[in-house]
This record gives sequence, structure tokens and C-alpha cells, in this order.
Amino acid sequence: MASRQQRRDRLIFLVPSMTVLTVLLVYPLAYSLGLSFYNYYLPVPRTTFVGFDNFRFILGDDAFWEALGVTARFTGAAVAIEVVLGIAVALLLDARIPCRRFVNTVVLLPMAITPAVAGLLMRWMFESNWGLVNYFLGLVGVRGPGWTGDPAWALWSIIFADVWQNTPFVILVIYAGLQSVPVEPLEAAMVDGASRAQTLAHVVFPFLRPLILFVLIIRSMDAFRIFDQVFVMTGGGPGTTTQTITFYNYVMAFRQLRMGRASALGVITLLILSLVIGAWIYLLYRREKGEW
Amino acid sequence: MTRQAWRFGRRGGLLLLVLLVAACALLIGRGVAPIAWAADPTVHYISHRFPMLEFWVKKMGEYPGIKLEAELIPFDQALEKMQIHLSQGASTYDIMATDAFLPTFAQRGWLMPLDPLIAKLRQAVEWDDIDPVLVRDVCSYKGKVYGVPNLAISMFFFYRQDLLDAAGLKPPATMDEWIAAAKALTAADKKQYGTAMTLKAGDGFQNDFTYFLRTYGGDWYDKDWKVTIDSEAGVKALTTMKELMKYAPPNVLAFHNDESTVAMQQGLTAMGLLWQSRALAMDNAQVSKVVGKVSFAVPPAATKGGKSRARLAVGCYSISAFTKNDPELLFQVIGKTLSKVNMRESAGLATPTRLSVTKDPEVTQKFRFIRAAADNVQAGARLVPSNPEFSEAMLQTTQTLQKGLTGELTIPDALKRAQKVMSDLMTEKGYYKK
Repeated sequence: MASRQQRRDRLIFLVPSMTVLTVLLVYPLAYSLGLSFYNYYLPVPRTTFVGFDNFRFILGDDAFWEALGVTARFTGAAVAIEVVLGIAVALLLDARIPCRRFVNTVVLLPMAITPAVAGLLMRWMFESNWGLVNYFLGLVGVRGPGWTGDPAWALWSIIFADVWQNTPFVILVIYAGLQSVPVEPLEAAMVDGASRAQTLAHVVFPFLRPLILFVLIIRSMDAFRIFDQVFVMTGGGPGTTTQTITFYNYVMAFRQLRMGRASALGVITLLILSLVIGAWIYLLYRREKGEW
Repeated sequence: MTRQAWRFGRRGGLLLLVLLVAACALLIGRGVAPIAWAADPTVHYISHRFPMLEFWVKKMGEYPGIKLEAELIPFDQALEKMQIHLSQGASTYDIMATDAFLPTFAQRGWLMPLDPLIAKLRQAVEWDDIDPVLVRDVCSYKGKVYGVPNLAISMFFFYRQDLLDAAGLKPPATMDEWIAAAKALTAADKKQYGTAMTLKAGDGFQNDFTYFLRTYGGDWYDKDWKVTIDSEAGVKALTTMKELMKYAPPNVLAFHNDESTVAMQQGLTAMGLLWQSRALAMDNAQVSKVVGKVSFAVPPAATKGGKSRARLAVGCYSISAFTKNDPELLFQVIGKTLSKVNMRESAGLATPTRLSVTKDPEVTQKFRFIRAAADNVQAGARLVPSNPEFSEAMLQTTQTLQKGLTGELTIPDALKRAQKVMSDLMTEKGYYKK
């Protein structure tokens, strides 16, 4: 059991990190939570307490539910593609392909680009009249759509941009996991006459499962908060077909200048995200308890 | 190398410490008072970007005895930055380009009333030469002047004379003729589209929609500020826009003024509504493939002989209420920038705002756009509503209206919802009884 001195020392060592956390995390969060109960319109310095009015307004606002739907569709599609593609590429890199080191480096490059720049790059690639995507489609006789200006394709353009930028993260994690799969079970499977598919399904994947869950959590959190690509590529349009929760929050705060409502929306977003992450973490704990 | 060998000695350490402290002091000093040792005051300027404003900034930078730091960015971003900084009472910007949102800013107390400066410097800036109608109708709010008009522009109907001639068509005079001509001139496989449109949500969409709405006899508000877009004229406006969209480039819903201009310059579109300020760029061989091929006309009316009500815009230069610079200096900078000589030089980029220049036959003869702009005003071009709430509701309203074009909502539903957005705001701001 720790002595009194040790406990005091621990507290002293905790002070710097707790101070930083309080200043950078707890205070802004508490401030935002407080603000969500006020009618705070930026051009008017006077604020009035309105209780849960801001929350009521948002929950009754069609734009909120539409944005939530867009965010859910985006997150689901982007994360699913990234995980499946990431695993496939990681398996490919794990195989003895030629120029593996070079390919490894090239595959990871998109991660080094800031999302806003990546968005700009994609915006020009998806430009319907002069963009690269439609140019290449034209070479094979396909007339490409209006991408970012087409309600049916705008969200897919952003999904593609996100997949291009974030699949490397999945590849990196899964590839590292593949390197740490012990040789013994693989050899045992081979001796027992297991096929490649069986070895993959029954030996490799059980080892990778916690890592897959990890990338699912991280990518879901990130994708749910997407802003940069939306801002740069479509500005939430056409109509509101690509207006995600975070973009809607930005519009409310910095274009409509409704800080009280924007804070309330931030709190609601935090709650939704906490529920999603909670569900993922619950799954992780089940794994740790040996339930799967 | 031993640990001791590369360590700083006492003197070295002391020197490093002194240097660090000096560097910090220098940085802090610069941060707190960036012009502490500068001989010339720094004037911070912000506006959106198009050739006329670029010209003014160039001239403003030539004013002796000041250092100009100019920020020219897209319209929505400039508006956003101004709002955020001004709402906090920050002195970030001294001179700002304002237009339809001037009443909003003036009402919030963000702009400096210029009347005392005008009284004091009337002769120096030749104030009486500046068009008083523009000052009264656009750059003032509740009887006080908050801006100096720097340009006047309207939306023209641009058309490719060569393409229309080849197809045996005349510039369309009605909406039906426009649709028919756009259909005839569309050859998507050759990347040629019948019409240009500016439909990005925000002020781009608003400009086009305002023209269609008013030309069909409607408007945003009635005389009592009741929102009136959910009307027969509104339905006709969105229906025509949706029909024309079929003959516009596929991503036209993402087009703002720059994209529409480039599409015309690159020969992608055959005609369409564009701002007067973009006219000169059509004949710039460095950026245009259609030099000498583009002509201008008054935009089509709803029916033969009807009124054509394109958007008219007047830009102003305003001074921030929170500026830390000498207001007299700033007013003189604006006044000298908008001098007769400069305005004469810029007359090809927009309609000048000095009477001595607009009435000069030499100028009007040299720049054909000025004549066309006058015809446009004669035909019925008008300013947007002057209430402060108009620009505030613009983004949300146009996003909703856009849904009528994308098919997310039916046209009547889009109009109904957009009307509700605007009406709710007007109610909240006390225009009607709850």
C-alpha cells in the first residue's frame, strides 16, 4: 500500500497534466455547456437564460435531423470502405510483393497531407468539366456526373476523399498487427492442412480483431466529426445533401452567429458520439473479459 | 564526445539566456504593438475579390504615408471574418467593403458614421461629386452615412454572338426564348452548354433567384416587410430555373460568380446572367478563349414587353467603428482612392460612382458596359431589400430554395420552408407581433 508521502508525490506529479486538461478541456466544455442554456447571439452582447429552449429548438429543427442523417450515412459508408479496403491492402503488403518498401511509403503518403489540402485536391479532381476523374472516365467512353454539384454524387465525392486520405491509417495499424501474428499457430494450421482462407479466418483474424475494433472506434469518431473536406469541397451543398452535423454547427456558430444554439448542438453531438463510443468500448471490454 | 564536452559553459549559457529573453521581448513587443516602431500607420483592409476591388486596393496601397495590409477573399468568407471580428469589438479591420449588408452592420453599431468626416473633409475628397442617390439608397442607414460608394454594377445577359448567329438565333427577350435557345445551343458531348447559372447557396443563388422572382412580378417582401416568396412568382421563378438547369453545366449548383465567369471564358457556356464587373474579363486574351465573341443585353423579361429586373449592386467603403487608426486619415485614404482620376481609369471594370465621370461622354463612349448598365437600370434592375435581416437569412433561405432545384423538396414545399425561415427571423427581430 502506498505511503502518505507516495500519495502526495503522485498528486504533485498529477498537477501539471490536470492543469492542462482543465484549461484545455474541462473549462471549454463547461463553458460551452453553460452557454447552451443562454440565448447568446454574437452581435448582441446581452445574453438571456433560456433553459432548455436551445435544445428544444435543435431537436425540433428539420435541418438537425437531416444533418444527422447525412453524418450517419457518411460515417457508415466511409468507415466500412476504409476498414475493408485497409485490411485488403495490408494483407497485400504483408505478402511478398515486389518493391514492398516503396509501395509502403507511397500508400502512406495521403496521411501526411492536411485534410483541407486533400479536400482542395479532390475538389479539382472531381470538377465535372475539367477534372481528372471525368477526364479518365471520358477516355473509356463514360460521361461523368457533376460530382460535387450533383445531389446524388456530392456525398460520395466526400466519402471518396475521406477514403483516400484515411485508409492508410487502417493499413498501417492492420499491417503492424499482421507483423505481430506469432508463427507457431500459422505453422500448426499449415501442418493440419488448413487452406489459406481457413488460416486467415481462424488464425489471423482472431489476432487482428482488437485492432480492427480499435480502427473502427478511431475512424468512427473522426468520420463523425468531418468538417474540412465538406467545407472545401461542397460547402454543405447542393441544398443540404452534404451538410454534416459539424458543418451545421459551424454554420450556426459562424454564419448565423447563434452561439447559444451552436453550443447546444455541440453538447448534443458530444452525447451522440459518447453513446457510439460507449457501445464500441463495451464491445472491447467483452473481448477483455474473454467473451469472444 | 563526453557529456561535459558539448554542454554550454557558464558564459555560453548566460549568452543563450540573454538571447532568448531578448527574442521573447521582441516577439511580445511586436504582438502587443505591431506598429510601435513603424514610421507609417498600418491600415488593415478586407473585401471580397473581383477586378474592380483589386484595382481599388492597388490604388489604396499607393496612398503616401501608410502601410496597407489587404485581405481579398471570397465573399462569404470575407463576410464571416468581418462579422466575427466586429462582433467582438476587435480593431482587426479599418476599411471594409460593404454592400447589401451595410444596414446590418450599421444597426449593430459596427460601422463609423461618416457625416462628421464628410462635413470636415468635403472639399478634400470632392464629396459633392459622388452620386448622392447611391449614398442615400445604399451607403446610409437611418439617415446617417456609413459608406462611400465605390462601384455600381448590375447583372447583364452575356451571350456568345458567334454561336447565336450560327444557330440563327437572336438574344432571348423572354424566359421561354431563353429556355429554347439554351436547349438549341447545348451539345453536352462537345462540352457546350446552353446557359450559365450561378446557383451556389448564399449570395450567388440569391442574385439569380432575385432576378427570376422579380421578373415574374414577385419580391422577397411586401411594403410591410411581410415575406412574400411563397407565391405564384416564386413557383414560376424556381420552375424556370429548374428548366434552365437542364442546359447548364452538370455541377452548376456549386457555381459561384467565379465559376460562372470561367465557364463563359472557356467556351463552356453560350449565355447567361453575369455581373457587369466580369465583362472586361471576357476580352482578356490571357484568360479567355472567347475574346470579341461575347455581347451583352438586358436580361430576358417574363413575357414580351415585360420588365426585366436584374440585380443591381452598389459597393461602399466603410470604416470600422473599432478602428484604432485616425478616422480622418482613413476617410482621406478612401477619398483619394476613389478620386476622379482613378475612377476614370477604372471605368471599364464597373460603373463609376462620381457624377463627373459617369456623365463624361468620352468615358461612356470608351466603355460600352456603362451604357449597357444604364439600359439595365432603365429596364428595371434593382437593389436587394435594405433591411438588416435580409443578409442574415440569406444562406439558410437559399439552401432551402436550392432543395427545390435538387428535387429534395418539391418547389412549393421549398418555397414554403424558405418563407418560414425568413418569417421566423423577422418575427424574432420584432417586425410582426408574435
